[in-house]
Amino acid sequence: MEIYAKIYYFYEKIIVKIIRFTLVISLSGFITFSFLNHLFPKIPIFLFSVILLWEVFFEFKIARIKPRVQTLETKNPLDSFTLPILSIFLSKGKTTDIIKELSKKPQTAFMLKKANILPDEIQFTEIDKKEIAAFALELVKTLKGKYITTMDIFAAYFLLTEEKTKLLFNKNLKKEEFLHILYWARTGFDYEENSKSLKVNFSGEGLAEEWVFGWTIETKKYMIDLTPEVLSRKPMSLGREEEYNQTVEALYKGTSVILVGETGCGKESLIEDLAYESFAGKLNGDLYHQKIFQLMVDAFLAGTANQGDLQERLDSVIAEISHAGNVIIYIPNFEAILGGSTFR
Amino acid sequence: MAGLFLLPLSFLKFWFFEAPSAILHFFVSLNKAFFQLFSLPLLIKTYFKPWKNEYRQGLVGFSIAMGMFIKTFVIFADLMLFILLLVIEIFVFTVFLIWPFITVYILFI
Repeated sequence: MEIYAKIYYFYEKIIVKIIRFTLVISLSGFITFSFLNHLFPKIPIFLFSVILLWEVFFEFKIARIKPRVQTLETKNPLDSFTLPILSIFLSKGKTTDIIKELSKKPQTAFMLKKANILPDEIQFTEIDKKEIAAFALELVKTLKGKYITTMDIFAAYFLLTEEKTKLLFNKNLKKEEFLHILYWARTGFDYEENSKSLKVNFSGEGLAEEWVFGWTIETKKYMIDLTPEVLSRKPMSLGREEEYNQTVEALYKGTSVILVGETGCGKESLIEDLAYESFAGKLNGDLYHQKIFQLMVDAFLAGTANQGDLQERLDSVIAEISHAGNVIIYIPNFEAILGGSTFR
Repeated sequence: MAGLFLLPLSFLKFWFFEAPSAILHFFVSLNKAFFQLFSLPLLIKTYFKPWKNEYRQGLVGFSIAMGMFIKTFVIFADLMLFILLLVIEIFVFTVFLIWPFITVYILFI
């Protein structure tokens, strides 16, 4: 891991990046020029191929190496360092140099911005590297993180030097608030901890799904398809996971669900979540690629002179939906359908 | 320093064991995405079902015939595309495996 960290640090230097880029461009240019003149430059092609082999090795092996162990299982913090922080930690002798290097990164810039600290306001005080690493390990354990990242070392430095610098105090920030910022940054910049896997994820409906499911011409007169609207902004119903799971479970069983709660408690967000997850193909079985249609009660009741008219309309919509095979109806303000008097 | 000497071994392990396995996993996910995009399993599963799940009396027979007619062409096109995708995947996988050998071979041409 240490050797990879050193290679990573060297290879990610801006000057090395420029050299790599120049080398690839000049070699490919030279090879093309030679081919155009009916020549076969063996050595440049060999070098070009070796460089490409190394680049693939670097990009898909070295740059994606994970720490040896997770923070909960280790006593030596270095074993849980992610590659970016380990590379800086091993290559820099002083803590102040590490922090200077870290402060240039986008994730730490995010933390500084949220803490209302300007980069010039950072006061550099030397601390023992072991001390900062051990403290970062404690922070990550508190936040239930997997590995120690650049953000954790950065935060650990601020908290350890707070007694001397009073920087957080001057910014009216408590330790807990700064930890929230750290948690926020870790969530937003999670690629350091969870490297992306090489996988193709297709979300949404396939080419022929519209041909298989039935018409909804009559239904669309009285209902709005929530899915297109929901897809334009990914919904977030934080704190309603339990209710969401209960709803999904009930729908899997084929039963109807009534969501009861005060206005603004998240009923509609939950439905939007369901519409998004279903469209994205994250729900299986009967909930796979379903459309959530929201009933417009006023439009549904409008123009019906008597109960017979309403019954007829209801029958045609029910017949259409039952044959559509991919529609879930969402009825907001359910009590309003039958009138306020029935709600007693 | 010892790690530096082990780097070529690490390269060989990556190139001939780890990377091929990762590429195969990637291709599996790519094929799954292809099937979802072109709805191949769904088309086969609903081959004898009416077009747009028609249920009105008098239209069902016609819908089944029309559905089968269109689906036959689409399934054929899907299969052709899938074969093309498979050929590309096999080509990429093979080239990846023999790339280091080709690199050395270039010197002896």
